[in-house]
Amino acid sequence: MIREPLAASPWSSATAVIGVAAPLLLGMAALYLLLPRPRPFRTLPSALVGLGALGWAGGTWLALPSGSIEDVLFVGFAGLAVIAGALLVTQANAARAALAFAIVVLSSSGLFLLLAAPFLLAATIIVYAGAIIVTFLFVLMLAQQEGWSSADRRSREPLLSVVAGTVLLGALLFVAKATYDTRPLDHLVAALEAAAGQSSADAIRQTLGTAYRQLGPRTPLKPEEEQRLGDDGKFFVALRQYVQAARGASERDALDRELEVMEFEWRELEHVPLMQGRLKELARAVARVRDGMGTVPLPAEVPRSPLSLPAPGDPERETVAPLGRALLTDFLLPIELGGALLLVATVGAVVIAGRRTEGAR
Amino acid sequence: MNPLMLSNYLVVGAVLFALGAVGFLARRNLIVMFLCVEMMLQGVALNLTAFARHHGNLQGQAFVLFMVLVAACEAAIALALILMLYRSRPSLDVSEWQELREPGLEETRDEEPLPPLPRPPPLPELPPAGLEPSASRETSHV
Repeated sequence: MIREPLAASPWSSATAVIGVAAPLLLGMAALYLLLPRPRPFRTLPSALVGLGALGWAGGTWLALPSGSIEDVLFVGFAGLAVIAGALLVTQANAARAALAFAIVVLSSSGLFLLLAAPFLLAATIIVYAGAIIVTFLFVLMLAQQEGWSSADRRSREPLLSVVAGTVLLGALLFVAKATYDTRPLDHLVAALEAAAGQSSADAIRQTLGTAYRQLGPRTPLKPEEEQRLGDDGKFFVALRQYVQAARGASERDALDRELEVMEFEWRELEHVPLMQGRLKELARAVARVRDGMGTVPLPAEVPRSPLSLPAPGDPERETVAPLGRALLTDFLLPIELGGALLLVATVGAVVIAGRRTEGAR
Repeated sequence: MNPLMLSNYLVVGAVLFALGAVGFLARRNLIVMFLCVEMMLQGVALNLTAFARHHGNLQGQAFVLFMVLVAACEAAIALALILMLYRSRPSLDVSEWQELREPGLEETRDEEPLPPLPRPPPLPELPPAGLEPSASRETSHV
């Protein structure tokens, strides 16, 4: 069965653009109100506006189709990271800001774990939460002043910086959404699979026609196509449009040629097992294009040792050992340079911090 | 990994990056500015890890490890520099150092005064208890 009726790509209509831009503007406005200033606005209403914008953004920016436990954990960690990040930016007390940063680090470590990178989880917690935060807190307490300080109670150009952040985030979101939005292709793959499961030619044509009417073409069809083709024929024209629009997929062009042939052959096809076979093949090919969206194939001449690939068969289960092998084979020189950099930084920090200026206490 | 899931991680990374950028531009405490830069780095690390998962190789994770390494070096040097600055002018405010700005730019002045400090809570008064000393009565009669 087709999973859900669906509008076309979210960037195709003005209302969808507003649905993505409105939480961005609302959240940035709340951030502006919450930034420290000599006469602060009331905190609670601004914070509520910010939380509302965050929830709205989570509803429209994220795509969580399955609702599995992984999605729940993702939403939890991501929400915690963003809330703690906003606290870090708006908190007037610098020590509390440092603790908010620790929460950002811990929750993004949770996201690393969801991305099957347990070594990064450990490394980030040890280096950031263990070492950097403690050093920052040490310096903060050393430099603690009596009373209010201009450093904590004032902002420098809050309006301009929030505008800059809005433009930056809007551009990043636009690129991410325009490149990685796979919802039309998901719908088409589901329709192809559903049609391949039907047992008569009429049912197959009807399923494809229904799917076409739900999704609609990406760009309007030519008038002669509109008249000549039935809904099932238009399905293939629309499928070809959406496949052509898939960005960066390496198998797209081969599939495009196949679909061009299919557009002409489809009306002559009558034999049901043949139709089912062609549709299944197409569903697999479209799914491959969908999964490859936004990928850039590595050029063949990049030297890579086979040691740095995940273990064949189960890339999920074993992640730390291949990373270690990769670091000591493909990245041997960078690792050595990194060690040297750490040594130089240690010596440099000692030299800089140990120097006494005139009149020092 | 489905690119739809990848785009979720990219969105979270972008939000962390933009929040850090706003904080770096707006805040005036040297250490908070530094924490904001580290938060931008966290957003980038999230992106790299998500791409490593998406492509099914380990290059992205290796990049994140190098990023953490450089961030640790950067933090050590920056804290040493902040300590040195603090020794010569005892404040963490970046505007203390605004004579380092480009020539021809106007000096920024803080016009609005900071609010007065909140008054410390009053000390508790001892409640009257026990016998009234008799000496006071005598003095009142005299």
